[in-house]
Amino acid sequence: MYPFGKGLSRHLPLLLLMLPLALYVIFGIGPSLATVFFSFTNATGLPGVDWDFIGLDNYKRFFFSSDSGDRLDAAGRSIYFALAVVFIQNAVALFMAVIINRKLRGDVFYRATFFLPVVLGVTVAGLVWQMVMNPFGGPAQTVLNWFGTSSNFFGSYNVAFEMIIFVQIWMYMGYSLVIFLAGLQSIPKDMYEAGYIDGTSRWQSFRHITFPMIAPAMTVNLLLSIIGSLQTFDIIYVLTGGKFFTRTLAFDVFGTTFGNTTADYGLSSATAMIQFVFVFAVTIVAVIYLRKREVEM
Amino acid sequence: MKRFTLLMLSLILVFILAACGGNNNNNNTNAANEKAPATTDDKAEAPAEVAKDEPITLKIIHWQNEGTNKFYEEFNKKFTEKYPNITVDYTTVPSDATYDQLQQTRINANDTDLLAIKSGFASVPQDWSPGAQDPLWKQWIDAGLIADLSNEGFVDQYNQVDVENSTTYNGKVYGINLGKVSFTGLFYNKTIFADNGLSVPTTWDEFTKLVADLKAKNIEPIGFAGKDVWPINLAVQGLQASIHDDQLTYIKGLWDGSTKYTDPVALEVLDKSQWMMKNAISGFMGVDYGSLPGLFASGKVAMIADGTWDAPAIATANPDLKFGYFPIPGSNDAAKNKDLAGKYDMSWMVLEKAKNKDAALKWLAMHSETEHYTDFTNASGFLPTQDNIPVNSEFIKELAPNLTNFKLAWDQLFINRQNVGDYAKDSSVHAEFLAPAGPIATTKELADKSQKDWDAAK
Amino acid sequence: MRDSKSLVVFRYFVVYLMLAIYLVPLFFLFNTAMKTQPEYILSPAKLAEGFQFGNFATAWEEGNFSTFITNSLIYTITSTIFSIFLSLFAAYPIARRYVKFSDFYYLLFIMSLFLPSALIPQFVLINWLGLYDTEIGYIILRTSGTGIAFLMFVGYIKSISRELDEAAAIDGSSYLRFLFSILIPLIKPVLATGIMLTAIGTWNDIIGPVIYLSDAGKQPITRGLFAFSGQYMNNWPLLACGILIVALPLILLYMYVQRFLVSGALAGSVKL
Repeated sequence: MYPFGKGLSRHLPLLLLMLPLALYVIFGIGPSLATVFFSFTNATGLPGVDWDFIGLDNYKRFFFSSDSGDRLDAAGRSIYFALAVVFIQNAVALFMAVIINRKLRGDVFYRATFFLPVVLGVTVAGLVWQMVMNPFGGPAQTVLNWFGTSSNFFGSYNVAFEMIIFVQIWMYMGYSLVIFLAGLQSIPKDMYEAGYIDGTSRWQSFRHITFPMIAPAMTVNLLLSIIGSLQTFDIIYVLTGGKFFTRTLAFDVFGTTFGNTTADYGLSSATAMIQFVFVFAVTIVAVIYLRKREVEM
Repeated sequence: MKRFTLLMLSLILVFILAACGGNNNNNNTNAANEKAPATTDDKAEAPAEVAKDEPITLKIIHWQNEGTNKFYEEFNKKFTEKYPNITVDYTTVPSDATYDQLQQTRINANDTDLLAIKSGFASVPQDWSPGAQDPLWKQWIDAGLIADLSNEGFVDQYNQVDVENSTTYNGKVYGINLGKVSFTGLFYNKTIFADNGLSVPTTWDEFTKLVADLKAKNIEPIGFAGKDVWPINLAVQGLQASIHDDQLTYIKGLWDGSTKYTDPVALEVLDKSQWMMKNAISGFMGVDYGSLPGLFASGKVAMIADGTWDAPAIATANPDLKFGYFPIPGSNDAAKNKDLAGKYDMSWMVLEKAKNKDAALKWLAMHSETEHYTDFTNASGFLPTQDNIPVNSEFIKELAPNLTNFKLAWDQLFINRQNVGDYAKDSSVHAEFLAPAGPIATTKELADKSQKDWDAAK
Repeated sequence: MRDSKSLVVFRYFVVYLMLAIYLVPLFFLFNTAMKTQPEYILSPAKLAEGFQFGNFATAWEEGNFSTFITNSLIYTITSTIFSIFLSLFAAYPIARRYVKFSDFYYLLFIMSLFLPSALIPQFVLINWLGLYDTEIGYIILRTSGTGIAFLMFVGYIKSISRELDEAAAIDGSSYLRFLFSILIPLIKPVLATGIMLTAIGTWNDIIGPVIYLSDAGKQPITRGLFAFSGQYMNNWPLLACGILIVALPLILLYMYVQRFLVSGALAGSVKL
């Protein structure tokens, strides 16, 4: 079984594994689980102030207090954000992947360009789009003015959130694209040849050969984008700072902890837990469905 | 084979050392602090002197404001000249949520000696506001985090009435307030006004006519910094100060139900706020607060809604610009419109458990000396809270007639309920939700929503 | 299957449209950087009249970028090196089941993807350890043997034949020697990708520095750029230079390494 000797060297793998494990337990999963604990207390960010266990009060506050409407709105936006990002990002990425995969001249360049925003990062991407969408004379505004209209873009209560979704998709479409391309390239050419002889149409060959064959890539992409889109908030921080009706649950956890009121560890932990239950449920359903689909195909 | 084991072990060692390094450093400095006098005894110098010379880093957090930041950089140099062992670590961040967040984390981590708050001690819960949220500064004092300065000599430098009104709580002085500001007026470009034969309006009708005249001449009348939202509210507070007969009575009325967000007087405030936004430069929701002085100084707009503290920034942006400031005339009664409203602006607090509390007190003491305080008021454009300080800013001198009856603005008087929804949140009326800035078309609709959120939080 | 001409044209059309969405903002960024402030205010969208390279020097000075870039380099390099070694230590025995409960560990590590946000307890812990606003504290937080690199390594190692381990062991290779002199060369493609994705993650992190590094002297480039943008929003040409100072080295570096990132690259993650 284990080929590298006995005695101490038999235990070496475990000893070395202990390093990342310890780090993970102390700084990762430990704090993560401690969130449960905090969510049942009224702890605050003030040093030296006593705190107590207050049972489910934070959860009650989340759902049934006078400002719960705003929190539920944020929860709604989380769902909206996730749905929009997961569907649009993957649909566009798959479409582009299929097109690029067809030996287009310069395909390496296209791929690299679409992946570029991932490399540039959220701060740079956010600032670039703020510049393009500057309501005060930016180029996008100039274009809108030609059509006799105008917008406040990231400063608009009506469209700021949609704009954030757009930038999020712009940033990570390349990531999904690359994974789809890897999937497409693993499909043997002769499968299509066989189909060609049978006289299948383009759509049929996509439906019956390509789509089933990239099921694993699809699973990875869907999972990554579901989890990512429900947990991300750095893009909101950079683009609007949560103003203009753009707070999501993930942003709220950050906002109520490090905002302009005393850090309410209890309520923000409860928010984090509610967010987790939601992410967990969606992920489990998605995993079961996607695995089943992979097997069927 | 051995080589690799060695490499690995050293790697692990490095990692562990690195991980503990942070702690070790802290321990070292602490240990050094305690041991210092003993170890230096051997030297011929007086031990007490040497102990004082222990190198110290005084940590101060503040927000970005060009005039005052420059003053502090200069002042900190002088401070270090006087106390060569103290280095000042002066951190500034934008004055928006970034500063609030810095305050939070630094207080939680006890990682600063001095911090500035954006006003005096306002919004203390009163008898008439049962169950109101404690303001942050009060929570800090109650938690024993803020040093009591009552017995510090430098407090006497300041006007005692101002000390009482600005930073006294439960009979004790917990901070040093550096001056008063007003923010319920508009900056105006004197050259534009003069060239077009326009004069400063004293009533709402004159104001609307002024705006119409400017528009007729293709000059953008008003600029707001909408991107940061709160600067819009400065103008709203100007309207509130001149439209309400007595803001405090109205606020108390909100608590006992005798007045409402939907009262005609409150709707008038919203209507006029909306009118101002409709007549503001297009795209103002994209203007951030930092750009506002530049926008005004470039002559692109004739007026901007901003606080008097930004006068130095405007002067820096264009030294040749001639500008003034007038109270927003919300009503048609010139006498009612005359007085500016404002607040006690920034106050310094010393953290009780600060590592360098002594140094922090020395810093405040030196700051309070007449010479340095005078420099500060000139750099900041504040109205001094020390007596007999010569104000050499023409801008402030010109405002004197509007400052004879200095009164507190809405956000200094208003006390909010806990857990109140977005439409009645924080310490302001939310005109930014109104079109063209926001999604709500009519003032009635916004007032209804605000009242609903307010009632729900009862 | 031959593609009709109109189909080919359609393809190029779609691709170029998409390219425009990605490249036009970057072109506009460059264009703005080359303008003077009055030029920009007059007409933001127009082509720059000349090249104002002086803007870069001003931005570099004003933004204090040299400090920020140094900090970012330190954080990125140290945390990436640690993370990659730790990921390897975790991935290899788990992929080979050389430790008991391998599946359990794998599941445990994978859980990090969707566990509740650890923001608050993590902050409390770091404070308690006295690591708030320290370089070490931030590097520890960014170091992880269980991230994307770990996942890719496990997937890839599983595809390498076990017999190799046995053969190496018979030749007298120890566990560590195998890891470093045999396994590492074998997993080069995912290793390169793993290194780069880890490095990109740290380099571009904004929330971590916002919470944990409040001293201007300790902040990385993301935070520095963000602060710079807050200060110079009124001077877009200068700000554009600031953005380019951050973005250009990344773009140039990316040109060299993109083949690792976008090709064999995500092979590992498809096997996730």
